[in-house]
Formats: sequence, structure tokens, C-alpha cells
Amino acid sequence: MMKKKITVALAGNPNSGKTTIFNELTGSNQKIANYPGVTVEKKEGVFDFQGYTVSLVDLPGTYSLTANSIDEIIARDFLIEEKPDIVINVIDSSNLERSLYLTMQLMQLKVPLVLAFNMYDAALKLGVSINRELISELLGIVSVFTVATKKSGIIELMEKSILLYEGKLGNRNVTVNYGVDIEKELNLLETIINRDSRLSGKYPAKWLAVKIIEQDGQILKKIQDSPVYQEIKKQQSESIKKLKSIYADDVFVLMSDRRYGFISGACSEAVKITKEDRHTISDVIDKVLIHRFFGIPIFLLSMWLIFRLTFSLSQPLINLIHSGLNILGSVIGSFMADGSLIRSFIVDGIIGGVGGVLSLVPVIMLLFFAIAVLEYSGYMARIAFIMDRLMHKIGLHGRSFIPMLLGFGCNVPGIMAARSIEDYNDRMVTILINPFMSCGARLPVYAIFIGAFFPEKMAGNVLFSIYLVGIIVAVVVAKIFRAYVFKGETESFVMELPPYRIPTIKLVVMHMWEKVYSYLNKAGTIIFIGCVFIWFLSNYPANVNYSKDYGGLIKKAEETGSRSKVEELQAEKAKESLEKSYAGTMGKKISPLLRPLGIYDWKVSVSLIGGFVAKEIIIGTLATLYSVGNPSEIHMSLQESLKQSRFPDGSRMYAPLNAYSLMIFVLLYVPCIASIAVIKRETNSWFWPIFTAVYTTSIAWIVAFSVFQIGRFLGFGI
Amino acid sequence: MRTLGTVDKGKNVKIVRIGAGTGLLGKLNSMGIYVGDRIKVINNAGGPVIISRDNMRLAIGRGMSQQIYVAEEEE
Repeated sequence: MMKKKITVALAGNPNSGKTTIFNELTGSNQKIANYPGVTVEKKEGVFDFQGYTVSLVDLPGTYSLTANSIDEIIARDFLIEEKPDIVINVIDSSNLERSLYLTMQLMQLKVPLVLAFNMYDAALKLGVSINRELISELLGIVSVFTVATKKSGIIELMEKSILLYEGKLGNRNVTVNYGVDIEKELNLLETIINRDSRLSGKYPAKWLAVKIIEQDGQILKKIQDSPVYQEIKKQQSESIKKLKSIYADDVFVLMSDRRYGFISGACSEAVKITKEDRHTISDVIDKVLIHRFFGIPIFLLSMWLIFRLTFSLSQPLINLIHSGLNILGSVIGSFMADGSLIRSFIVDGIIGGVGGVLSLVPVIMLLFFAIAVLEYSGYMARIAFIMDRLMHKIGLHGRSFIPMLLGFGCNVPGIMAARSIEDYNDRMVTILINPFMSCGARLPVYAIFIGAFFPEKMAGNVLFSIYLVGIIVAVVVAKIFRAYVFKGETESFVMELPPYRIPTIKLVVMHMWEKVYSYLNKAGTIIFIGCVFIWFLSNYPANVNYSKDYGGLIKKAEETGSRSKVEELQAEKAKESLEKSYAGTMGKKISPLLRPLGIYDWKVSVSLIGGFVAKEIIIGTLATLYSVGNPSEIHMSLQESLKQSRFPDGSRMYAPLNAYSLMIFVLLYVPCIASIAVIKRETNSWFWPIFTAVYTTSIAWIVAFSVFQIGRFLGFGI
Repeated sequence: MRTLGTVDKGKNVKIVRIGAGTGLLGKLNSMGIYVGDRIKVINNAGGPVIISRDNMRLAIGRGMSQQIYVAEEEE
């Protein structure tokens, strides 16, 4: 028999432990997609429970279901449009009163609701004890205590959800009473709404009436096709006028009061608070971490440590992957004819290129591990707080810092995270400067060049300075944008500082794995295509007009038995073939433009073209180009090849300064195609992504030029 | 009437009015802050103001803190 499918949605505040419950229920059986038309992640997991196949959807964490942010709109739309069979509202038990605001909105939406009073152990420690039966009774909703981190209550939660679904448990419909005057106006609106059955079938009439009084633009837009829309509009203005004549501007305050009365009424009966002045451990930690003088240095130090650790821990892993790939390459290569195109395609195109991409996984893993720890420990919110004053100086606020910080992992989620910034100007500036935050994909480029041209003890500092250059450029650019393009007041914000928690390993690892997975996903498609494309560019046209008759010369050399002469000629031939390929031609055309920056290697110019597809490709391309240009059986590591790059006269192509200038250029120039695509989506126009591509590349040229020319003048690193 | 932005660290205050508009009011409500609430100022050093209410710690941006009117509570 086919199992019956039901959809269960998880709703709750940020930091309520929603994700932990989601992970507990679905295990590793999760898939991440985007909500249609937007870039907000939709996490879905499937599992079997008591003869049902449950599809669990993790809604974005929100404090309410108004139209304050895209997350709230998405959560709300999902509940209204998809009508999940069960909605589990995850509640932070130690913040019951606050959490119930969302619960109340869910109740008004008349969704089939189950409350999970989560983190109940933590609440008890804080002296909060909840009479669950009583609160269930008062609100008329089924509820369960859970401690998701200890797997407790999870089964019961699902059992009750199923019972509710099967109708063996029931919820009462309790609604807020807004008082005679407001209720009267709501009733008038409800009467009109009920005349359009399509409207009343989709939205609970009272909920819709409240939204209309509150002038929720997003909802009004959705119902404008209704035949009763004009009547609704007319009634809306009449009702608002009437209520304002009674209460002046305090209508909304009054409605707020009524809701609060409802919540606090329930809480005062069912919640006992035995200890006063709680939260103290977090407060003590905060005394140090958000200290007005120590806060920022501690933050910078921890970031520096994260980068140091990422760099040093990932290097051995990268080496391991490299040698593994080399072995794989030579084993596969040995089955195929020397010099054949198919061998070159497999060994150089696929293993050399995509394999090069695979070797970045350790870096991405470690960086996202650290970011997950920052996020789940509660420190991320403090970062927004301590950076707020500083961010104000560049015309942004603390919340813009989180997207920027995420940009260090990958600009794509960084740009996406800017969605939570409500103010248009703030959001735009945050998006446009995000590409200057050096993402994880650029890190391997630095790793290769720093490893090749800087002594090991300097490596961490050089790396840190590159990140710092990105930040400085971002700050300057943000200031300029704020002053001339996106003018206006800096929006203010309210942000929760959740208590510090030790994040569970599972949560951190899941988060990290999600990121690695989405990176690999990208690598599997875009980067693979990019690498094959670059391989094509560097191997075609296949019949080049050689300057010498290599075939004849090689044959002659073979006859004389001079093995070294043969190899020399083969190398020369391969090099010429590459130079005359599409890639070589293109690279050489761009190369003069980069010479003033100290970037003399046309192979680098070719890689930079590939870097537009994805930054990961830069190293992949370089590896491909160098292995293609060097047919020697020994697969020299890229670093060695770079170190040995020389001009025809034998002088070195790279000094540390050249490498540094190159890294600065890579840091700042055109963002990858994925970032461009996200900027397009987030700004909803083609102008901004194209503008970003042009302006970042211009800045990259100017900064790298200055670094190289000034450095050369002062005699640094040459 | 004084605003939250002017309250010193460590002081207990009662919220008497929240500046006009459904946006700000709804947002504060959703985060558990209402007119009539008693809150404590934990940190007020130029940037956002940190307040506590029960187990919550909220950072309220400077601009917003100037739209929240409070009355000081007796110790």
C-alpha cells in the first residue's frame, strides 16, 4: 500500500531551535531549493512516520507574519498558498511571551497548529516553569515539551501532529477580541470578504480584515483581482477614517494592546517565574565581547585566527587531494595513447580542472565550519552590534555586517543575506560592495600564490592583508555610494542578542555540509562546463600553423636516438600549439592591459577570463594550462610550475610583488557569474549586475596598478 | 518625555509611547516589546541601545531608540 503523504511546516522565531528539530526529524534526508521566484532557501526533508510519508518544510525563522521582510512574506505565502496539513510552531520556552506573538498570528491564519515548547530544560534552569496543559487549554492548541538537542519530545510531537491530522485531537478557535469599535469595522469588512467565496476560501475572513485595516500593501495587492476589491477599498478608507476619529493615531496601539493582553493574559496564568535577573552568564560574556574598547579588537582577532586556522589546516588536506589526483591522472593516462586528444581531455581537462576545484573543499569546509560556530553560538548577532557604530560611519548599520561577513565564505549567500535589510538604500549598498569581501573561492588562488612566492612564516600575514584591502575598498566604495548614489537616512534596527550557547556538533556539521554540498553542486555544473570550455579554448583550433616542421624534426631526432632532443621538441610543439589556440590568442590580447599591474603571464590572463565563470576556475584553468604546456611525465605541482615561469631571456616572471598585485586584482575584479546572477535577482534589474561587473574591474585595475607601481618604486618584494 | 536613547546603563524604565507608524510598532511587538513594558537598559554607549526584558536581550538601533518614549522607574 502506498503511504499517505502529508506536508508539515515548521514555523518559529530565529534561535528557537527550529533547525535542530528539523535535523532531528529528517536526518540527512534533506534537500535545499529556493522558494519560487526568490532566493530564500527552502529546506525540505522527507521521512516516514506511523504509516505516513511526511514532507517537512522548514520555514524561514521570523518573529511575525507581517510584510516586514521577504522572509516573513515567504513564510506567510507558504502557509496561505500551500496549506500544509500541519504547522508545528517551535517556541523558545524561555521567551514564551515573545514567541506567542507569532503563535497568535498563526492562530489567526487558522492553520492546524501544534506547539512545541522547545528548550524547556534551558527555561527551567532560568526559573521559568510552564503549565503546559493550562496554556494549551487557554490557547486551545495541542502542545508538547521538547528538548531538541537531547532528542526529547520529538516523537511525541510527531504523534500529536498525526493525531491532530487524523482529527483525533482538536484545536479550538480562539481569537483576539479587539474591542467593540474595531470589531464592528472588522465585521463590516468580513461581510464583504465573505461575498467572494474564492477570497474567503483562501483567507480566513477576520485575518484578512485585520490586514486590510493595517493597510498591508502586500496582501492588498494579492486580492486586487477580487470582484469585491473596490468595495473593500471603500470600506477600508471609511473604517480607518472612523477609527481615527475615535482613537486618533492610536488605533494601532490599541490593536497592539489587545494582542498583548491576550498573550500576557495566557502567560500570567500558565507561566511561573521563580528567579529574577536571569541570562547572567551571557551578560558576563557580553561585558567582554561587546565592550566598547575591547569588542572590535577581539572580533578582529577571532577573524584573524579563523583565517590562520583555515589556511594551515587546509594545506595538508589540499596536498593530499593533489597527490591523489596526480596518481589518478597517470593511471588513467597510461591506458591511452600519448598525445591523443581524448587523453588530454580526460587527464588535463577533467582531472586537472575539476580535480583542482575539488581540492578547495577543505578550505570551504573549514571556513563554513567557523561561520556556523559564530552563527549558532550567538556571537554573530554581537558582531552586528559591535560593528554598528563603525558601519554607521560608512552609512550602513550593523546588520549590513553579517552579509559582508558571509561574503567571506561566498558572496552568493552574502548578497542573499542582504534581504533581511529592510531599507532599500542600505540593502543596495550592502549588495554592491559584497563582492569585495574575499570569498572562499578566491582563497585557493591566494593559497597557491602565497605558498609559491612568500616564506611560510609570512603567509598568514600576507593573506590577512589581502582580506583587509578588500574591506578597505568596500568601506571607501560604500561611503561614495552612500554620499552620491543611495542617499538617505540610515535605517534603524531591532535585533535580538540570543543567549550564548555552545552549538551542537550536529548543527554545525549539517550547516557546513549544506554549504559544501551547494558548492560542489555548483562545481559539478558551472565549473565543469567552464573547465571543459577552457580546455576546448586551449586545444582548438587543432591544426595550427607551426613555425617549424615539428613532425619531421622529431622523427629526425628519433633516428639519431637523442631522447632529450625529442622531448625538447615535443615541449616546444605543445607550447606553440597552446600559444596559438583560442585561449592563447585571447590571453595575449588581454595581457598588455595587465602588464602595468605586473601581471606578465598570459596564462594568468586566460585564467582570469575563466574566473568570470567562477573564481574556482582560476586555479583549475592555470593547472590545465600549465599541464597542457608541459607534456613531461612528471605532473609538476602548479606552484612549482609558477615558480619556474621565466621570460624568454631567463629572468623570473614572478617576484613576490607581482604575485601580490595579481592577488589584489583577483580579489577585486569582476564577481563570478553566480554572484552576478544573484545581484540581478536581488536588485531585479540588469543594470546593477552589469554596473557591478564594470566598476569592480575598474577598481581592481586601479588598486593593483597602484600597489605594483608604488611597491616597485619603494623596492618592496622585487 | 525622554527617549530610550537618553537613558543611562543600568536604569529601569517603562515604555510610555512608541513613535507613530504600524511598522515600528508591529516590529517591536513581534520581538516582545510593548507600550507599558518595564525594561532595563543594559548598554548605552553611543551605538545601539541594549535592553533586557525577561530573558531577552535586544539591540535597538540608535534612530529607533529615539522614537521610543520612556519614563524612569523608581529603584
